[in-house]
Amino acid sequence: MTEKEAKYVKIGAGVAVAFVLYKVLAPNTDNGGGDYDPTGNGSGSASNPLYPFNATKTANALKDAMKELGTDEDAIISELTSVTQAQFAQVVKAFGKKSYNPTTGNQYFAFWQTPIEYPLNFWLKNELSAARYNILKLKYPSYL
Amino acid sequence: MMKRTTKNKGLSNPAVLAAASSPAGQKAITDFTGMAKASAETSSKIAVEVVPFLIKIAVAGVIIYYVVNKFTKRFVKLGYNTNLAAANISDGQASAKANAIYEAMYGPGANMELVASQIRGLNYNGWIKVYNAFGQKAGANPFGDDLNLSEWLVDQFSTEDIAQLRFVLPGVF
Repeated sequence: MTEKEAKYVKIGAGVAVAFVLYKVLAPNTDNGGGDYDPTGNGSGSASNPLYPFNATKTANALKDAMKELGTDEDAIISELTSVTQAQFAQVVKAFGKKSYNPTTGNQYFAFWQTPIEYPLNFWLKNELSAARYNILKLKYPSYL
Repeated sequence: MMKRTTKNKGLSNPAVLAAASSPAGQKAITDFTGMAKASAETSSKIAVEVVPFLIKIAVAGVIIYYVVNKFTKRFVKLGYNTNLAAANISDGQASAKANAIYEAMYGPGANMELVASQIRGLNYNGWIKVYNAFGQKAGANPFGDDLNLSEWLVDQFSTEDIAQLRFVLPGVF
């Protein structure tokens, strides 16, 4: 190897080492995905563009999952997965109070019973298993 | 059919002995012995030069494989998204959460509720901070690769538990 070739080899090796060091040490940034925080815990109030939010629709879906005997817990979790805590407040408001029979777990009452209306948190606590309700509480601590 | 003139073969054959005893035969034998000796010396020389070379190549190959393997499987920290709000936890909190999550998953059984309580309320960059603080840790399989936080979660929990964790903190793992 001539002196000139050795010089080129050294330069090439130096560039390769510098490139590897840059790749290893350079700080990463990832600005993909726009300005929406997928966790729902961002400072903005933007909703997930993949799941357009409608409080009334969500409230009705929750009621449908709970109103009969037996509860579709997976449907409730699925419906609320993309709902942030701020949006859950709107769902609670849209749900309002609905008649509920805590004994039977549905909306049927005997003729001698007076229907009583309950808010969403009461429905959820009665309809969901303790483990699932605790998971909901972790996500919506201000409302459950 | 060819007729055989003698039953003796090899050195028992008088003709062969006569040929070997002649000056030309002696010279041929000497030449052959010299060639055999030279061949043996060449083989020995090749062995002395080639074997260490092959050992060096093998050692270099193992070292290069180890280094490349370590490099390609190294932990690469995730980048923060500067379009979003800064992490809503400090470095110390992220480290404490990463340790708590690891302890909740390490060993037999994994405590989903404890993990859920650690990740709840994190924003995107907060999750990145916990993920980076967790780094890579040896998984349940001692012969397997080290796993990052997302891989640990998927490795340790059932589909149903993962769905609940994704409910608590959607869109990040």
